[in-house]
Amino acid sequence: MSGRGANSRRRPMLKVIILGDSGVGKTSLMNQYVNRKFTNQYKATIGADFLTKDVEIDGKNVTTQIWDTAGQERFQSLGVAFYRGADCCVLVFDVNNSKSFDQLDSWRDEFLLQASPRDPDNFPFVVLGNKVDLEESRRQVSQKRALAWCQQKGKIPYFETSAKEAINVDMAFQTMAKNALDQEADVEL
Amino acid sequence: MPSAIAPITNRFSQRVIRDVVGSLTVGIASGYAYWHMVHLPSIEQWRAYDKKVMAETKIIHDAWAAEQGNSFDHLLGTDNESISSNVGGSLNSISAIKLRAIAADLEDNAGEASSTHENASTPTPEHHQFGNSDSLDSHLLQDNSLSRMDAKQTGNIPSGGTSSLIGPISLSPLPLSLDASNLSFGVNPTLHETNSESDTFEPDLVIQQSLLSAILEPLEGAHPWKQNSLSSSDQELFPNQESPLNSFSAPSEKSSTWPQRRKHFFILSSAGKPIYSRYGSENEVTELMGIFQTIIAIVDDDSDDGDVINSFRAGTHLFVFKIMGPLYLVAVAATGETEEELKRQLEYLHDQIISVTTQTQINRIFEKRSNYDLRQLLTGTDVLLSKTISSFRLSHLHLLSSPSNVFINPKLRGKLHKALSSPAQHSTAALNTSSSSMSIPSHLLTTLLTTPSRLISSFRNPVLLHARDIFVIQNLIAAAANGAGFRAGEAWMPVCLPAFDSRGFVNIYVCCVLKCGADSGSGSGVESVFLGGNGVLGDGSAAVAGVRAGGVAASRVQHDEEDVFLVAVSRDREGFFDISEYKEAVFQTLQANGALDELEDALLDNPYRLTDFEGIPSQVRHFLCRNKKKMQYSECRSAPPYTSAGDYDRLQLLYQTLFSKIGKPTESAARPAKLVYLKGTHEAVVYLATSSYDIFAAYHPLISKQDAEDSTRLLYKWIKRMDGHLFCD
Ligand SMILES: Nc1nc2c(ncn2[C@@H]2O[C@H](COP(=O)(O)OP(=O)(O)OP(=O)(O)O)[C@@H](O)[C@H]2O)c(=O)[nH]1
Ligand SMILES: [Mg+2]
Repeated sequence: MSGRGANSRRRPMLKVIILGDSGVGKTSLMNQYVNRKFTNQYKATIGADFLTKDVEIDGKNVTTQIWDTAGQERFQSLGVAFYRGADCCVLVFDVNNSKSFDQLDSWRDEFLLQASPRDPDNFPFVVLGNKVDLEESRRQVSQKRALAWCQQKGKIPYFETSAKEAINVDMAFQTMAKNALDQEADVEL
Repeated sequence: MPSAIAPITNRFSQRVIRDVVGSLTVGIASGYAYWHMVHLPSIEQWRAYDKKVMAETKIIHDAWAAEQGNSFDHLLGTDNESISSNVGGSLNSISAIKLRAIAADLEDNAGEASSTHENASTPTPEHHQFGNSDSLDSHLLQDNSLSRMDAKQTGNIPSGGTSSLIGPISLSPLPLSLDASNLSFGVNPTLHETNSESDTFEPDLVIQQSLLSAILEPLEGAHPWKQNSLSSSDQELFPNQESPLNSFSAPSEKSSTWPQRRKHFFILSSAGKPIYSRYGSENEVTELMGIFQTIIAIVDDDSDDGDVINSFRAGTHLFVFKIMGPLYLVAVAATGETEEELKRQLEYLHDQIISVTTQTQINRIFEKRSNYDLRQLLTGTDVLLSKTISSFRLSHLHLLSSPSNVFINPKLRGKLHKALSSPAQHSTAALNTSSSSMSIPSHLLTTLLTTPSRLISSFRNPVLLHARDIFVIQNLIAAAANGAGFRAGEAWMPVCLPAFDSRGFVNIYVCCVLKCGADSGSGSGVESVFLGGNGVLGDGSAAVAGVRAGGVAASRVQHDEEDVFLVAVSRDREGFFDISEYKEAVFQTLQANGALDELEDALLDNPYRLTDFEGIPSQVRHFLCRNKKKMQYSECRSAPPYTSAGDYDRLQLLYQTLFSKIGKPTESAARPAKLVYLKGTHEAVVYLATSSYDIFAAYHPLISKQDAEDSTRLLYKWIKRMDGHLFCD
């Protein structure tokens, strides 16, 4: 690091946590966002994966440090370890699986409990309804229903995404980073 | 007639010549061919192999000697055969033959080492038998899952003797063969499993395994912070080619091509956000930080009794963790240094962060915002941290918790101290020669006369600074010196001295009083680079920013030619002018009594040579000595072989080993004189602890134990006699 000039201010780093049931496509979304890659193969995440990506928001450079967690219960022994000090939390469900949508409540509660952010009501969440590329007939959660939930939980931004077709992925992460950054700026030390 | 014979004779002689020439040619040619194509290569090969084995032996032995200081005791009474079979299980990358050779070597030393444990009072280290999985299991089977991994493995060497096993959790060595896919923790090594629902599955283990492999992968492959590592030449130590005697060793040693000299430091927040990394750009290490954070947190969460992870070993790398409130510090080293030593180093790094922020501020920030990106506040502190890291190899301050002092005669010491404690009033200049001394500012806590690496004199009023605080000050000066920071003008800045008071800032005044150092390349730019000066600076970060303005990468300061600085520590933010006046008085006094000139001369002879003095026994190759009451140390100038960094490092490791054998400095003060002798392959070292000194001395490896002891005792007499020269009050 010593190579860096002393006066070049470092880009802020945002810690982003991705939560949601197993198989909803958390890892796929992260891979699409960071590496622009998608695979149909499913490999359950064990423990966690970490990736970083530099983004520019309103002319400001930031680094996002993305913590992709495991949806499968048996791999979830990490809890607090992960949630501590998060700047933003991304809740993911599969629009073709209503159970994964029902679980959002408990994911959100669990996060707020474990991470205990200073201002829980205004903590920046983002909700993603994933796999919208599949045929309409398989859809179980309507956009209206998802939006209603988000509204009720304090105007959480909602995006319908597809990791496979790269629909709305950049947009979602961009918004998330922006909200986190705004939040950051709000707090006085 | 002659014509009848002649042709025959001629033919005969022709044949003879042809035969002789022919056979000579064939003989010589085949001789040459044999020599060049068979003999030389095979010699070459054996030489290469010899060299390799020597190198490996040396490394393994050094690492062993340093870390397993106590393991000499294990080896005693264990025959070679059983060592190799017990250890062979885990150290499968070292062939049994080599192990046996090392074991024999170690046993030799062990005989010597332990027979000199004439002190019954030293607590004998527990005798962990290699491969005794019962005792290991009971130690490691606490209810934290990380240690469970090891319990499953048989034949591990307990890491670092007693201390680490008693510690809350200690992870014994992983197998040396560390392809990430080959970590055997007793579970199936498949990292990403495709929805298998087998009952024998242990998620915890798999999680840790995947985390560890994520750490280890970059260590193995080309990774940014590996490429930046200290030396690449060391990679040659384990060439991939099959070595001649290696035929019956495990096939996996290809993966053990880790470079030897490697050391990394990481600092992260409890949220896993990066704060500092010695190598690699921040993005490249971010992932690693996340993994470290997770490992720490897993152990933290799993244990109800506040256990934290201390260290684990992966092959030649020791990972050491230090949790300091909301900051996590991690050292990764393949240098053979002990866990204890690395922890000490992490504490010194932590002090640097505290020195620019205060502990209180750090705690408050992270209480309010656990997601805070501390780098915002520490911009430019890198140079302080890097400087600290490089000092670990040059200084014994960290090991001995004492600053080093220069060798000067007691009369000069008296003059210096007098000038600091009661400087003469100089306002009336030459007219008033009566020694009316000026009053010392009441807010002055302490004054130091110091170079960037060595203390010269100190005046406590009433505070005596701890070595940690002295280091903070010296490191600040050293870091700034690369940019010629404090050479001109006066500097006044708030600094937090972590040992004195980690809750708040004191104000530090720095002024160069004697310029011995060469103008290191900065030329005429010197004056303008410096900005810390004359004003009163408000907050910590701004002050350090002034210092930081100096260049980051400059050549190492030559220890022999260092500037002398006057450092005054004050309670009063507004005290600058008082202190400046005080300094002026000190300076005038020093000039008036000729002390500065004398000091300049004296510094030229520092560090002193062994040959400068009659009283130092000629067998002594190097020594180091600490005065326990004054808490300062003195070291002779390094002569060959210790002028080479590698040899010096090895010596340092040996001293560390000896030091850790004796125990805590506080305990030893009360104990009677004690002596430990340790014979290594390259030198024999002696540690002599008396009621007032710790003395470390190095000798030729073949010196007899008796001779080494005797000459160390002579050395002790010399040190006692020269105490006034070596240390200040
Ligand atoms: N058609 C379609 N398939 C997707 C999409 N996103 C993910 N998938 C598939 O869904 C499966 C699960 O994706 P993952 O990203 O591994 O799921 P995850 O949420 O990370 O699961 P866990 O790691 O177990 O928590 C994979 O087979 C993906 O190929 C999508 O947008 N469209
Ligand atoms: Mg996943």
